[in-house]
Amino acid sequence: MRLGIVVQRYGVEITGGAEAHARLIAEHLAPRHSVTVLTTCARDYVSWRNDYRPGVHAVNGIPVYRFPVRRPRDPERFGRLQERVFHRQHTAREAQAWMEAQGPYAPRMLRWIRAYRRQFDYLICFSYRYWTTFHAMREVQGQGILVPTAEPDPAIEMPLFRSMFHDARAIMYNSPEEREMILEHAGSDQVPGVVVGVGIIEPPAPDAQRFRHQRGIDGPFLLYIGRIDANKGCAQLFDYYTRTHARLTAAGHKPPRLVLGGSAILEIPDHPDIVYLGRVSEQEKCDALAAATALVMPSFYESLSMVLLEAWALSRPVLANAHCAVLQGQVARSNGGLYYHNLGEFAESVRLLGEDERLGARLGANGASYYAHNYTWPVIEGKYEAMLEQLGAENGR
Amino acid sequence: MPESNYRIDYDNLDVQELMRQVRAHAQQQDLLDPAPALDRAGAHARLQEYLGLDNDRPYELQRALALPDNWNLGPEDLQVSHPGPMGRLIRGIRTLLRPALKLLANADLPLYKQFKINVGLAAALSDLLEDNARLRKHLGQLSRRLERLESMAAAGDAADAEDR
Repeated sequence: MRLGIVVQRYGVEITGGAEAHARLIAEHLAPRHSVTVLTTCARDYVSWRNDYRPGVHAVNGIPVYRFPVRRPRDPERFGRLQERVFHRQHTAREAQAWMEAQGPYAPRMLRWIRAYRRQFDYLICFSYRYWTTFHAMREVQGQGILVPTAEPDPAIEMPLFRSMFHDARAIMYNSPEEREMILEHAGSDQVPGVVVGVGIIEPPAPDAQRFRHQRGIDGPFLLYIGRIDANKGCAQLFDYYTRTHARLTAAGHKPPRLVLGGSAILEIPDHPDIVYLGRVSEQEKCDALAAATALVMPSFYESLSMVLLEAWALSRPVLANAHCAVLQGQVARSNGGLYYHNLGEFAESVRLLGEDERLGARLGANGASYYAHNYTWPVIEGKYEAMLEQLGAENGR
Repeated sequence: MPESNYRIDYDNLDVQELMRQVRAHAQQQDLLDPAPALDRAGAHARLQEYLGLDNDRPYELQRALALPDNWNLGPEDLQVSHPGPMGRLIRGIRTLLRPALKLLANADLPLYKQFKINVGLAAALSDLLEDNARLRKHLGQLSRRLERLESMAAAGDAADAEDR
């Protein structure tokens, strides 16, 4: 089939979850289909500033059409509009203004799609809330397959998006929780859909001892990988960890360390058992995961969490924030970790994982099994192929 | 190894069941956040204050709310009945029968205490509503500030990525 991939940014160096998701899907569909990527020249997701040259380029062998962003995003104006449409009664016009301010505003891409849509059987559009997917889906009604990558925030409740979900040719969900949330708000039960998610880049062979030796870390530790930021739940993680550490130490237990890998936006507490690695390479990330007692996921908002899958691919258990329905659902379905609602559950889970190696090993093994059954590439590709086949049969092709 | 009072079937792990045990252990071992305990103690102290039999605050609340006349009560209202001739008749009968009634039960004190509880709860509710409004406003301010900081920090993060 001739497939177009529409996504707001694209590139090997783009580390955003939805963008990496789109690139991996494109690269895994390309061996069997004619795949073309339609994206913008933006690299920075805050301003959408044009950093790539417009035109056609190849990224890992896939043709990528880059269209310029007409105007950068104004964070102040966007913030004011978002405050209005998220938290107050607003008009349809204000919602539309929010979408235009959200961006990335690339009218040339839209004109191109309008002119050349017949060259494609379907356009697979990623991330429902961005201008590129919002307008592409409207343009190609009947040809648009939506990969929403939705999180439970006020955007999903906006009436602005209901027709997009209703008019999608199919919807590829990241999780049962995401599907439930979208059906609840959009009522798009009649649209064919499947929970599929995405696979991960095959991890390099991990070496736990190498990590321990290079970093001088012995004993059990919790590992956090990602941007160290309040909106990733890290402020609460630091609060819970330092209080847990004090409590467990006072009760005569030896708490595991907390090891952090990623860029730090938030100040990291000065604590003897909190170790900041800075940014880590893919290899070191895998080595650290292999050595860790558990991966800790404190985020309140996740659509899927690829690092969770990476931990399970390496048979490591996870400790997840239960206030994120997706994370709690994944952990419960997999029996591949523990989850916490409050400090008490966090502290007891940390103590349990730190002291019961057999439990950690079993949880990790369960996670690995869940990953193998649901998130390896043959499974993911199979679901996409099945959906394309179903749509083709419905079209009488 | 964990304490033996955890029941873990390692070969058939059920994380939801295990989390039930984790919650129970957390409560037993007093690993809950001490802050709620302090908050509870403070709330109890305030409620005792509201229900204090000697304070005037519930009556100030009544005046502040400007309740219509027939809603304004005082302790003496437990004893007051209908105005006029009927009221006088009822009060007379009550005076004759009160010693006999008190042989069986003394309802005056429980009734008065219930009255105080009701008015005290109204005062506590009023305070809660006021705190809620203040916190909601503060939360809105913090959310806006966080969004601005996030935008600025992400711009710096993207610049760092370019430097790699």
